[in-house]
Amino acid sequence: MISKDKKAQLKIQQMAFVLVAIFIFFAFISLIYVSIRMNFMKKQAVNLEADKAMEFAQKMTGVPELKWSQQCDSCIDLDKAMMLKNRTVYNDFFGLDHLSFEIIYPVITDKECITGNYPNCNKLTLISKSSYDTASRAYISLCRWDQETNNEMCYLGAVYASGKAVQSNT
Amino acid sequence: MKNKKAIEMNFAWIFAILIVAMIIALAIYGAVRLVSVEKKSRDSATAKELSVLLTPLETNLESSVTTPLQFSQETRVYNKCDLNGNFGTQSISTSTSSGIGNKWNNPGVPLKFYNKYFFSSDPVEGTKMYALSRPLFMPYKIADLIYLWSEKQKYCFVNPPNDIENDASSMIGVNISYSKEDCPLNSILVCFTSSGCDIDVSISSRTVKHKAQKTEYYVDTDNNALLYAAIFSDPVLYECQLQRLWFRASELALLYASKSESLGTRGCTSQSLQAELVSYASLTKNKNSSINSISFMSSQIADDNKALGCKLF
Repeated sequence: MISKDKKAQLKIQQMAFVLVAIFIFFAFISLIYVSIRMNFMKKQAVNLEADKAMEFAQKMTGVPELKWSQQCDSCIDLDKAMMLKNRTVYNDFFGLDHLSFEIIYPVITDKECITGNYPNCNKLTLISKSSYDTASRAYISLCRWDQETNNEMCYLGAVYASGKAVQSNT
Repeated sequence: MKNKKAIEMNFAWIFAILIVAMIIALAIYGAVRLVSVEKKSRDSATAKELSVLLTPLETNLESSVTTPLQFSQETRVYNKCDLNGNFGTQSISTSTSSGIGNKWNNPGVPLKFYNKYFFSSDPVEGTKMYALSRPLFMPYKIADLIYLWSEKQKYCFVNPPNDIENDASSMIGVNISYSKEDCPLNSILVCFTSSGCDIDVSISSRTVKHKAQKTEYYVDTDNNALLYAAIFSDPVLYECQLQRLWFRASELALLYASKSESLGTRGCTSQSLQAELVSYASLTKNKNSSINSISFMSSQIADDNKALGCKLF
């Protein structure tokens, strides 16, 4: 009688161990799957943000806050961009982590534009969050009103844009 | 007494059955949850892809081209608008049809934009959709408006004026007819000279009336941007998006006023235009301002800007 009871107990223990092992195995499989999926989703989100930044950089000249005049479809208004720098209501408006302009030609003093030195500068940063990674670049014309010639003046320039950083909770 | 036979189950069997049942239940629950999470993530990614795909539409070059959008399966695009914050918000979410359970489940995570303006019915449903973009100038460029409709929504413009007829001839899914009877069956009738259609347009009073809905007012611009917005959009959505456009016009007016001030220090001043821009900013910010007063002031600013040596826009 005692030996029969012991056998049954042993069987129950065996079964319990097997079940626990199966459970742990499936838990591991699920963990691996979830981590692979999370990585894939994060990559997809990063790619989509990069695409967004690229598209934005390319169509930047159509944005009302930055476009020059109706006569030039590929020009950015540096005067307006300079005013935009001081307006905090636009902080999250474009959904970007980085947005800046650079005058490439003719070469001007390598300085960030601020109210005190404008227009004797070549870089204008509108958005710069510490989290941004790489920025997409597109070539454009940067135009402004020139007091000396009393006419508009355009430079060859570039726009740099970077999408929002993808937040990770893992 | 007869001996009744019964199956004798020991504890090991009962324990095993219980555990197996629990594992199967857990596996089914896990699979269902996984499918639902996967679907939600796919729907969210679709909404994001849609927003990226529609970005190039917002340029001047492609503004008159209808862009077809093909989805891999039947999809609903939910278009929501709210007026919170300085610019209001545009939310876009999608839901794909499902063969199991309910055909339409909850949409994926909505994507929020401050700088986009979609005009459509809510939701737009179909495997194939069409998008068209028009810039709105009042008097400067305020935004690119995007109109979205599906292959299921066949529009029929009855007796449109020449400029609208020209535009409509390049729109996919829009027919032009000279009488209601000539329109294809089940199409949405848009009448320009008569009434009693699904959508009645009055060019003289600048109104659009959807059947059993509130009248929408629009401003007559060169490219009929707001007229098409009123036609393709649900009236409630149109009102909300229009208000968002005025919010943006207000901030742009302040930006141009600052630019005018800055140009003033560089020998190109226009104090009257600067004052007008500040007034235009408060007029467009005020939710109770009439569309006609905004239109009137916009023309005034456009005239003053034309007279300037250094144009603001």
